[in-house]
Amino acid sequence: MKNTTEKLKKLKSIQPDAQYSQISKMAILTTPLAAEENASFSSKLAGNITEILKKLRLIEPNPEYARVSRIAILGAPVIAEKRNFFNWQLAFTLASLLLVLISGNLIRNLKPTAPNLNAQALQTELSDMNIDIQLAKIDYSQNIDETVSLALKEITNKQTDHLNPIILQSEQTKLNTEPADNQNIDNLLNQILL
Amino acid sequence: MKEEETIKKAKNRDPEAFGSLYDQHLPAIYRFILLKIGDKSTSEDIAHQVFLNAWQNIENYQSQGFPFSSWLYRIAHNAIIDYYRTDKKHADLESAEELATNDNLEEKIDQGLELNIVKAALKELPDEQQNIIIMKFVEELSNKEIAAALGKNEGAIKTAQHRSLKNIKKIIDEKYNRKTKKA
Repeated sequence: MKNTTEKLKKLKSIQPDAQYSQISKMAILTTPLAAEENASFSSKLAGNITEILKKLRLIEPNPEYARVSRIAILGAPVIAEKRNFFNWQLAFTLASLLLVLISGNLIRNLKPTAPNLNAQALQTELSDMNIDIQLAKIDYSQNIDETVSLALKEITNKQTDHLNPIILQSEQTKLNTEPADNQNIDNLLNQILL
Repeated sequence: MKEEETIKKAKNRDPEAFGSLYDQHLPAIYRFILLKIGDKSTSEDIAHQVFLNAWQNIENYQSQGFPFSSWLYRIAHNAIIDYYRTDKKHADLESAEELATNDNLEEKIDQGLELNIVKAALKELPDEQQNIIIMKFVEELSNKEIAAALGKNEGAIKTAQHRSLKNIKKIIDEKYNRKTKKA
């Protein structure tokens, strides 16, 4: 009998598994509580939120990870500084230079490069020339008209004066005495052509 | 040694100096990444990449009155954006195994429970509000530092802080009450 009681007493040493009790306790405590308790818990939690957030600072990286990572980082070859193929300073200088050239060119285009090529002067010159040409043309036409009418008159004249050898002779002499390079004609031609 | 001096040495490729910066800033950067990503091994990979990028590009760091940490947060922030852009699948927050050990089991559980709720709520906030909550209330950075890290002005950060805090409280409240109703 005594033995039995001793044996029963020994049963008291039976303990639940430590891990099991921890998990079980966690599960019980995380189970939703009664409504009132819950409300008070949530309001307490919300009220203490800044304090709880501060506790998150307890989170630390695993020391072994930190050690290995540190060694790996410091042992990693440092990538040579990337050569900047695009040199901003140079690009800016070139762009400025280009801008200056373009604007200079534009300004130059606005001004006449040579006074002789001034568009307005050329226009005036051209219109003047047209007038001169027209006047010269009128003058020429008048002369031609007179000559033609005289010739026609002579042809249509029933008198045969025009066949008079003396007259013909004098006309021929007159024609021959006229210089081959008539200055007036040359001037007129030059005005038209130039 | 002043941080400025350490940075100067690190810029001259002094591994010891950069190692010192690494030791100083890794925990905060790792936490920032873990709280945003939720997966421990991914966070470790990203944190490693952040510091590797920092070491390889430290010549480009210019203080301009802002601490080195702001620069690191900026790299980390971009790395997280890249991660979410390329890898849509991501695990939930792991249990708070990284938490400093606490001998009192009950306290540990309570703490774990509270923290898990807060972490879950944090993940429901918009990206920028998450950043602000972590930087302001977890890491306790100044508004100036947060503004530099996120490329915003201080006024915008102040306004966003109140909004972020209000939102996280609302999420916790709604989540918890919803659970109660379901139960």
